[in-house]
Amino acid sequence: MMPRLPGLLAISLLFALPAWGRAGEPWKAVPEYTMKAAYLYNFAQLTDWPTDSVAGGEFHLCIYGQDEFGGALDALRDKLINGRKVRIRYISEPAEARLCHMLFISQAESKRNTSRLFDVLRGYSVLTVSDNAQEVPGSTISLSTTKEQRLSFAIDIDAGKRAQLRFSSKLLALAKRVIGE
Amino acid sequence: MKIKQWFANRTIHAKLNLINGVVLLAAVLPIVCITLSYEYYSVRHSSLHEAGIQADIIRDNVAAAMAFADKESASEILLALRASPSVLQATLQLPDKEILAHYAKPGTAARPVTLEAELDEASVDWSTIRVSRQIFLKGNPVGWLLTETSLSPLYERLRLYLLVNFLSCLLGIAIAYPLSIRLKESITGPLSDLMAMARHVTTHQDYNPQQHTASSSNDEIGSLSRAFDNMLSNIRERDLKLSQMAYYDNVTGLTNRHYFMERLEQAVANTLRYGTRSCLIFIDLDDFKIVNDTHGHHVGDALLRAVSRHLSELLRDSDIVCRIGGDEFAVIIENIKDLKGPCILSRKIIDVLSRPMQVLEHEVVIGASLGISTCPDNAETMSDLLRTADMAMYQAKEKGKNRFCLYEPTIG
Repeated sequence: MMPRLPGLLAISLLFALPAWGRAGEPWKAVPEYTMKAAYLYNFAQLTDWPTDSVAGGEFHLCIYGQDEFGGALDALRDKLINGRKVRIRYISEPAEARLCHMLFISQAESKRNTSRLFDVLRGYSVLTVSDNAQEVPGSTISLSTTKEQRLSFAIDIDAGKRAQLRFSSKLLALAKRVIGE
Repeated sequence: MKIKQWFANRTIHAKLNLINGVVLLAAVLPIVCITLSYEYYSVRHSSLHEAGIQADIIRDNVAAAMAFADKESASEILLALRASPSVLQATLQLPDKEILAHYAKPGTAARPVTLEAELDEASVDWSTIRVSRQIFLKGNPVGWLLTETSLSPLYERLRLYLLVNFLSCLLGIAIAYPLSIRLKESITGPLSDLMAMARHVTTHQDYNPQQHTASSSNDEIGSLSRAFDNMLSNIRERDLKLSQMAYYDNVTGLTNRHYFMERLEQAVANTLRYGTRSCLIFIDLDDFKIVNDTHGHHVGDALLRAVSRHLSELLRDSDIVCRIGGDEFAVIIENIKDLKGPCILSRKIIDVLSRPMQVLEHEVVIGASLGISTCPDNAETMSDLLRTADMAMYQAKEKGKNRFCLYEPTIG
């Protein structure tokens, strides 16, 4: 069993606040990036990395580009993913991304030409999550916010395969769109 | 006590019916009760188990949707419960108890059941099973699932079970009833026969009933029937013995004085009524006392038997011969025209009795004196007839024995 850390409870509470899905209840609003932090955590939970890439050490969650999370990621510190402590890193160079388990590509970066980034990551088991973009080519998961202020995501299985990542069927079931296969 | 009294007053048929009913009830009731409660507990248990399994399946499927707080997916997963009509409703609650999704059985509008205690449990009351399950994703709690399942299938099944039990009981009774009637008949039938016979015997004083045949069965009733028959034949035997004693002389086997008097009375009455004629012959053995004194009583008795044998041989079947005293005999002859027949008979009697007789290796010689009186010529009453015949007999004795005398009024 995982230790019941205060952070864990906090993140669970975050999920519990469904205001982002409900219009007319602004006082319950959960900040979009708090939601996204929780999503990142869940993605990591429902994804399997190849054993050699996860051997020992910490779980590296990297943020590429502008950090829009503010304090939202603090809830993830001290949490465990696959038995590893989460470590959050902010990177600016694509080459640094090779050491990450999960790479969050910020909204601004996602809209730019990301092909160099993905070239660098070729052959590395990095779960790439691009923010607010219509299916960034090469990105494993593309997060987007709907008109009703709800989060949804698409999964590119082929990209995941290239990175030797395996997704839980539960995650696939929840994806708005599954690309590949 | 009242019930006991009441029961004692029933007929055997009713008693058997009652016993059958009570025994049947006593046998069937515990069986029905035990099987019913077994059925209840086993179905309840399996319902509880099934509800738990259903909840577990939903819990495993809905974990990711709960983690992402994905309302649509969660609702969709809950919709799978439609396949199970006994599930009344299900609720998914996020860790802060906020309801994420709710399912209610189509056609029902149940208020969503919510978590009461943060426990994985399955509780059951008379009508519903409530199951609560905490949902985990990779070991992290992401919410709660609550389901409410109706127990009505259980009661439906129990009702059906009772109905089947009831129908099978009815069928059993339908088969057993004619059978029991036939079996009861085998007991009550011979008893009724026996009772009817006993009643016939008592009311008609008929100790030789024709319609009765002893029951051939070897049970108590058969024994009773045979015992009854035995008793009847004992009564008949005793009656026979009593009438023998009453009407017969035990030395000669001839009818006795008592019988003689009854028959004589009848004969006189018949004679007067129908205007016929009858006669009475008194026979007194001469010298019997000498034989008795010389050879002893046993020879005397044997002699009397020999005399009665001779008399019986000489008489017609319709004539009546009785031994009315020690060495006195009497013959009643009815429907005679004149005294010719009686006179011939008397002569024959004297002839036979005066011959020497071989009695118990002793040769004895006796004689006989006969007195004849006729009704209504000499007497119109029994006592007169007796008296006149007696007088005629004494006259014969006086005239020198071995002769017969007809009564003549001048004798007196």
